[in-house]
Amino acid sequence: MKEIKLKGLNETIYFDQCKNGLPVYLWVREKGMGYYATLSVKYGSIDTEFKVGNKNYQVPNGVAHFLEHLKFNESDGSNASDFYQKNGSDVNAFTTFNYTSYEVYGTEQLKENVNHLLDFVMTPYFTKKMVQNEKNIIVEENKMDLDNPGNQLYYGTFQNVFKFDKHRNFITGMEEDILATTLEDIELVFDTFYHPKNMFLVITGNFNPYEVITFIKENQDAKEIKPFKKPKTKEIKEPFKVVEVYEEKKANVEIPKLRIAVKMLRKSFKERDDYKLRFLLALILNTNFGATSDLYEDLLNKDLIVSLGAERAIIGEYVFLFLNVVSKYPDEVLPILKKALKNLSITEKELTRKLHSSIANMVLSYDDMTEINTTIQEQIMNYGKIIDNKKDICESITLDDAKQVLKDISLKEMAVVVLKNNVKSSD
Amino acid sequence: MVYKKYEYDSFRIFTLQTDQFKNCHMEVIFQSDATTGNLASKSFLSDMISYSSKKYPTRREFVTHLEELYNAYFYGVTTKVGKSLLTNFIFDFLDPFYVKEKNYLDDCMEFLFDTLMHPNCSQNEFDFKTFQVVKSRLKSEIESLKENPTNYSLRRSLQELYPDSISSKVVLGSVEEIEKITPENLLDTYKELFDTSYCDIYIIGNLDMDQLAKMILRYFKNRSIKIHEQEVYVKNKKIKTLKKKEEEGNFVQSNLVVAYQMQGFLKKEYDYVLSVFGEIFCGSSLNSKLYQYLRNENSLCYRVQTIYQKFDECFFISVGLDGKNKKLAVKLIEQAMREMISGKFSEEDLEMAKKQLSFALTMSFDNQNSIVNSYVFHNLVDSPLLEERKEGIMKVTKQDVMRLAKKMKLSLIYELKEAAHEGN
Repeated sequence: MKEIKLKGLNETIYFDQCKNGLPVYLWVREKGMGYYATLSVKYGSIDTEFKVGNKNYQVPNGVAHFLEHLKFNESDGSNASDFYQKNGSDVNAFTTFNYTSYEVYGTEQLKENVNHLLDFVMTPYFTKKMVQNEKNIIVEENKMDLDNPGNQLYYGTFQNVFKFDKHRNFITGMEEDILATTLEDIELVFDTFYHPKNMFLVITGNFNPYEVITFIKENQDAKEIKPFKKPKTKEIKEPFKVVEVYEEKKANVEIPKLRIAVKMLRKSFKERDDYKLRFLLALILNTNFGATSDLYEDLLNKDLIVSLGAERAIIGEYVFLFLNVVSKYPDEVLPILKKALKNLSITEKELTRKLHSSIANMVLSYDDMTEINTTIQEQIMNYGKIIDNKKDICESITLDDAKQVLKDISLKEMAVVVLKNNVKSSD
Repeated sequence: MVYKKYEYDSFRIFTLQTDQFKNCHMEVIFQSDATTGNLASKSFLSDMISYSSKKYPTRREFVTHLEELYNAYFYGVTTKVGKSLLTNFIFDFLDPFYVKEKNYLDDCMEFLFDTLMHPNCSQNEFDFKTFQVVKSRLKSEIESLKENPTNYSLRRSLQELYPDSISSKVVLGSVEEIEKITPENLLDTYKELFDTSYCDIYIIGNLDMDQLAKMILRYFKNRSIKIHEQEVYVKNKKIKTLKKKEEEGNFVQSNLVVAYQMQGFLKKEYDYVLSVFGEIFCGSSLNSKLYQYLRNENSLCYRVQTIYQKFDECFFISVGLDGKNKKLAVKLIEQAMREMISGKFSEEDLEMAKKQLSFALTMSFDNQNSIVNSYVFHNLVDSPLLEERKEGIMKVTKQDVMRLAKKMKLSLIYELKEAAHEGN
């Protein structure tokens, strides 16, 4: 087993790979009470068009999430939940744009629980009746999502910055997608993507890593695994130009909400390291739009905002900056924020303070086994590896690095979504 | 974990020394009576105090200093616990072991108590500019409560259930109540909080607690209050007849709330039996009665959950569903409750529920907030601590659960109806 030492943080991640190709990542927190295991499949909601050999396939939107729901059914008529409840532990799952993850929390019976996680996720068992029964449940889940203004804003922005990219679509799919999903779609996706070579296991918490890797390997060695089909998800050629520059939507909001998205080409940034670029963009956004910025203070004092948040993302060939705003006066605040985006800056003093904060956060994150597990998942999905020198990267960042990123930011393509009240409620 | 208690004239300190965490978590809790008249002002005050201070009068300066303290985190929360109001100031900071500055802990304590004791105000009133910002933010927060159909329907259910009781009042107050608050009378609220409230300080972390207690004593002074008894449980009127209420909503999905009043529960039932009942009836697992009947067998919903407020004697079942399925959902909920009363659940169900709860309690030892919370409620209403709670839960019998179910009185069926749309 390989030990990945996280430089400057006095932490170690253990890594090994099973013969069938399943990678395993373990992080030990000796002073904790429980453990958290996640088995993830590199198949998410955006992977609806793919190719195996020369054959092209297309499945309805939401299939990754639909499959995640069905996966809990076991061939003896029970549900994975039965097993974990009997063991005094908890099982759940979630689907993202890029991957699906099955998770188990426990305090005892680690071996039984992890083995069962590997067994129930990797064993196919689907029937037409199961598919049919689950449809209305997922439709109701989708309705719940539609009633959330945050989702309306989030997906609304993606629909305005992406013409073809599948991030436009709700992870659950819409009602018509859910109702159109068939047993064949589910089986196709499972057979194609649910393979150890396309999955990874992450366990964080209090355990002996050598014991754990031994029983995981035993479990995997005993399985008969078909060859991996090596599917290729269809590459979507997404144009640079945004679809809609400005859109107002009616929604159940008492206070209007807006989201600004800046779309930029990844290749226009001189910084080639994605981790470092994400880090620098977060620092810049925090400095310019966070609670320590002059702008934030000014907007609050003028009652122009209720809240203001900023985030960044790298999706495919593009880099995005997002501003999320709750404001009674969206028409007034929008030009101010656009102007602020044009005048982004950072000083040496601000940079140093933000870097110290980031290091403190890095240290503190190791109090939380869930956060570390999630960090490992994201690093595998985003970078294909564990970043073992995050603290070094953070400490090496200079004002020149930040200024270069500032120089590379372009506001040419921008989209705005505003949610305004549709009906004034009587309460 | 080493637990210690330090008692002073006007406040108490409870410390939990452990090397389990790199973070130090501290809560300064002022306890007073919750009244219809003081909810909005106490919520306002807690926001004001945690927004800025005399020494750091702007939000920018305040947060900048927190960042200088290695991204320490400070915020205020006002919570209504039955008849009691907790004004809670929470402060998280890095274990000084990881910091090169020798005075880091001292600096943190100075910041915390200076913020509490020297808010951003002049002789007779709070700073007007800050006041306006906080006021506007609070009003927006109150208005935004309507944006979440689940929370909105639960709040409306409480209002229908207990229209005149403190139980149905929102801790933030109403927009009209916020409008009545001025920078002057808010200062009176501040003085009242400091002069008349109980104060308990909780801290968990890897610190020399004797030294810390001395440090707190140095910074936290000039308080003189008398310890007095405070009632927490609200004695609401017994509900005799079932109320039904429907309201038109603008949402895609209907939200159904079925409310039961918990009548004549014993302390043991609140402390141990209620959570076992809740787990079998509608717990975290997909195998609970309501999940089985509503979701697995009839595909009526994705979300069904129970929420109970033991200090207000109410137990809610909340479901997001298509309005046309409401009748069936209510029928199934009533059927599930009848089965709980008649004992139509197995010993295995009971044991699994206990195991599940025991696991959740063990997991909470990994969380500083949960550990502190357990001590807060232990000191407030003599709730059992985590270990004691686990032991008590394991002793719960099937008869205990059935007896408790009999005391559940169906009191309200509320529906926030989905918006009418084409074909509906």
